[in-house]
Amino acid sequence: MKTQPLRRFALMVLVLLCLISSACRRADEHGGMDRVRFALDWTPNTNHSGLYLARERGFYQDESIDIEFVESDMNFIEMVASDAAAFGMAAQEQVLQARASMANIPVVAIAAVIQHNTSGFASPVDRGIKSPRDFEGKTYSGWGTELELSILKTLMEQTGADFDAVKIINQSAGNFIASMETEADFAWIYYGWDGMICEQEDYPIHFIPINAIEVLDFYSPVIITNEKTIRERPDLVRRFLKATAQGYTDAIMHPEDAVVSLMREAPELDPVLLLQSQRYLNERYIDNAPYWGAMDPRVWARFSTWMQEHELFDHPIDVEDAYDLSFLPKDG
Amino acid sequence: MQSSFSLGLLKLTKAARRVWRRIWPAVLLVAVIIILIQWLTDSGVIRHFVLPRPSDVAMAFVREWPVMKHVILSTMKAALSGFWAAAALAVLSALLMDRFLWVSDAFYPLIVITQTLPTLVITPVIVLLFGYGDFARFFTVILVCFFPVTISLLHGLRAVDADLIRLMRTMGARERAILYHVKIPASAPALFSGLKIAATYSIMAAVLAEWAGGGEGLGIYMLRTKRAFRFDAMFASIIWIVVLSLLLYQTVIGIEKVTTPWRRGQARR
Repeated sequence: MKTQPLRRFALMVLVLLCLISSACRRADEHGGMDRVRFALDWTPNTNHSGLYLARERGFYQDESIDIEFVESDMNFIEMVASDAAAFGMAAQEQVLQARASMANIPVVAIAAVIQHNTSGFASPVDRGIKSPRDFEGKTYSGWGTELELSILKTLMEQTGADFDAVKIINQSAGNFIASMETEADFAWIYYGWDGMICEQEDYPIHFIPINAIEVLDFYSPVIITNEKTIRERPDLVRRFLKATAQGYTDAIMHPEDAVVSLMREAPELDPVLLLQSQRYLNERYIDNAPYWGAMDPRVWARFSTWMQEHELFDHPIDVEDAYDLSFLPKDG
Repeated sequence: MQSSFSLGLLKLTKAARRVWRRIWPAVLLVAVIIILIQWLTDSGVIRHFVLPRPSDVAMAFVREWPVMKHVILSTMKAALSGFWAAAALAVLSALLMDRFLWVSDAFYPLIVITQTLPTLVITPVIVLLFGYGDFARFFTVILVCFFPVTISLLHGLRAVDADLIRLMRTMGARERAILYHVKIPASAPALFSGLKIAATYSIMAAVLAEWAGGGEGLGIYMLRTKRAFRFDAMFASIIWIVVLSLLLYQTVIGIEKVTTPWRRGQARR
């Protein structure tokens, strides 16, 4: 009688093992198409709309590319560097910092998604922050990176303000508005997302764009790949960018369609916010550039020098290795 | 037939009444807290981007179901398979560690170290090692659930009455017999307390893995709704995590009741 429960237990273990083995089954290979992963840098948003639209309209398929989007904020650069994803998205400063890190992470930028930097320091209007000079004596809600403090410093020094008079905290509230309401006076945001949210929530803010200073007008985001893919599959990079450029060009012409394709992939998002954000970005994807994706080597050089001067690099790098302009479809 | 049915029903209502007698203080407390939050958010003392209104969350619960059911299924699958795999592995290693001292000496420190690693930092590394997708999530759940079960069972096995084992030995019992007749039944409560802890961790472990790129489910849902400022939907997903964790916990208790019938009537709490 006593062994009865034991036998039941043994049976259970057996069932579990079956469950485990079924969970471990692997996905099938794809025939004829290049299976490519794209590592998103954040939750799907309007920075990505051209990618989603390109997939929905079959532009990748036309180039024999079967694309899968994967998302994680925590390790996307390393995933691209290790070729777990052939392509991905990142900001220019992340590409430079990755290359200049002790780990020498070999990622390369191949296209700019948006021509000019759309980020800046935002504060509720009642704090009276109209210029970087007004940061003095205020509390900054930060992400704990050296870069943002250097940017803050550069902005403030330009107006002769004292950077040390700013109180810096690490943001603990989960979002910009909550942080402003509970702990701080200003924060670094992307106008195309948090700015849109503030408009939607009827939360008036004052916004100081960092691109007011030329050196800080760096690309964010850019499309990245790794050195291995460039070396071994340059044709794939070219085909991928051709389809992607087509996607962004279409997204600019049909913002509603771009939003629909985004929502299909990420139904958790808010379509009203997406459309507002898409409309804001529409004229900024290409802006004054000759075609989508174009990058100016001078932007790379001057921002890299600035980063080096502010001791954001572990070791000096050759900035020309950090980007490659040869894959862009130049006819638009 | 009819009478046995009504008898069964009577038994059921009796059982329900017994349960209710135990849980009404908790239910009342939760209800009071919810009403309080509703009042605080309605009156604007707490703004909705800090804490959403409970009534909005309740509505999101219903409205979001078509999307929610997919993400719940995905996370549940990973949490369950990881939990069971961890349980099986933990039982195996605890038995080995109990049987061979050198195995215990070799692995015990390592097992403790895995528990001191901050999960938030280690999940991105797991995804880097195993690549994007479900396997990384499965592995994370194993890593998190393995420890409480192993340690708990090991200590259960070691706490078995030494006199009883000595008695078995004098009577000529072999190690295997001692294991079956003494050690396993005696350490079952310890095993189940480890399993209960692991059950409550498993869903959260799957969610953490998703944040690092280990497949899409409740964790991704939570992140997306948060960033789209849809806090009612985000809180609905948090409540789902609580509900699912409790469900798993109750399942372990159910299994405990079935597999350790000799403890029926003894206090289990």
